[in-house]
Amino acid sequence: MPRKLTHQTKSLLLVAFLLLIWWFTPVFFKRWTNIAFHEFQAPAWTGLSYLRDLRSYWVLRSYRKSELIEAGVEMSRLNAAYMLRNQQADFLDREIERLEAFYEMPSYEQFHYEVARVVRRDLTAWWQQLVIRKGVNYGIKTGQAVVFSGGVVGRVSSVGAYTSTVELISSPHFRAAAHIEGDERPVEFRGGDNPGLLPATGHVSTVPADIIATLKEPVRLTSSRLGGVFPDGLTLGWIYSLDPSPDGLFQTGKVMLDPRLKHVREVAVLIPFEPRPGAEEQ
Amino acid sequence: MSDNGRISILFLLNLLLYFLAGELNFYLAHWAVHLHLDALLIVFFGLYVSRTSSLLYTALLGGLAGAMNPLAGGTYIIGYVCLWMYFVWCQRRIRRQNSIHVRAATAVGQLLWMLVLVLFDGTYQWGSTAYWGRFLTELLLSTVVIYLLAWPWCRFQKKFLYTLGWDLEALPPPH
Repeated sequence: MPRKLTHQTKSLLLVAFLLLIWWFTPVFFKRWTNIAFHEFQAPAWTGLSYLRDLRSYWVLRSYRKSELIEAGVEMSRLNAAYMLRNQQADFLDREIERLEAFYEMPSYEQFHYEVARVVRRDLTAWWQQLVIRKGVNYGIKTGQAVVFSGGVVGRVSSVGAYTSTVELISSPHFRAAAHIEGDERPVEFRGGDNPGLLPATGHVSTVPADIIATLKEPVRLTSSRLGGVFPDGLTLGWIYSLDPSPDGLFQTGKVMLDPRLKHVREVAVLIPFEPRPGAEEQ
Repeated sequence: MSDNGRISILFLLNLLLYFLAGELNFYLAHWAVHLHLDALLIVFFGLYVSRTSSLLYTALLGGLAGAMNPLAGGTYIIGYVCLWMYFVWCQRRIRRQNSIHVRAATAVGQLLWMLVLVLFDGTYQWGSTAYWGRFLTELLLSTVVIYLLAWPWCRFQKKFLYTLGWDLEALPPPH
């Protein structure tokens, strides 16, 4: 007479059966399931972020009038400074356009900024990503650059209907072309070292041998448009020391990233302006 | 209410815990640490209500957690289901009435799951001391928090089931 199966054996067989089904499930169905699970929970994460905003609102409401007036005065000073800088920027833009037309050069890619609140932060030892509160509904696409006041945040790794996932520059999977400030030669940046309780760092390689970085005079690592994602000149991080690579031709070093990356609350996605239909023919 | 209905309510409770853990991690990111509470989501399903519906809910939780992470599709579903199996295996090897046993089994489950993540994350940072430092920080934090929370969380769910008319203590352990 065959032995009766124990409860645990039955459970094991059930698990094995489920895993077998999953193994033979077509990839497109697995992909669809992943998207469905993401979209299913996205409203809940968005709702939580709205609750956070509401709490911040009530915290701000508790400020005294005198504190708000002080903040208002400070803001108006900042506004005045930025208005002056805008005028300067307008002048420089016109100058760039004039020179581009004069030398018949291709123009720089133009972007508009789509500001989005951060809904979720996943900064683990294995991946570093943010979920933001805008998706396909705002024209965001995979691969677009994401920035904040401190420089580059990362790039959009996946887009949902109402949310997007941003891979941070501190993520071990992140790679980008970069420049040392004031130097046109490209270098390679990759994210990676994220020690717990400390600011994140990245790595830079293929740095020309004549570049010098010291603790007293660190060099700024900026983004490069060579990768086709970021515009030129946005801060990636700071390099405090460089070591020669084994071949002696290049140097490698550690890049200190902005510590505000860990608690950024609002970011801007750089969405390239689509060329007008027929603009090239003209 | 049917048993499956009661298990569905437990699933909703665990779903709430899942979102709370995400919210907590939002703030913990300030200190560059992440709290992994995966074993806590599954322990009750595996250790006390090992029915087919609880396995399906475990797979659902795995699907939800996996969709928010960049790992290959299905890693979390498979991992959570295996973790459920580990807790079923624990049923006859620990005393489920003993808080230390339940706490230790859950912490070990979390440890195993994080070791699986080390193997399957695909970043190949095994040579970096910073990576292992970060991993050990998260492992220590997560297992300590899970050790502290596992028993109260299971007891709360047991009492909750009791109020719904299902006395788990009165049932003999499954054979």
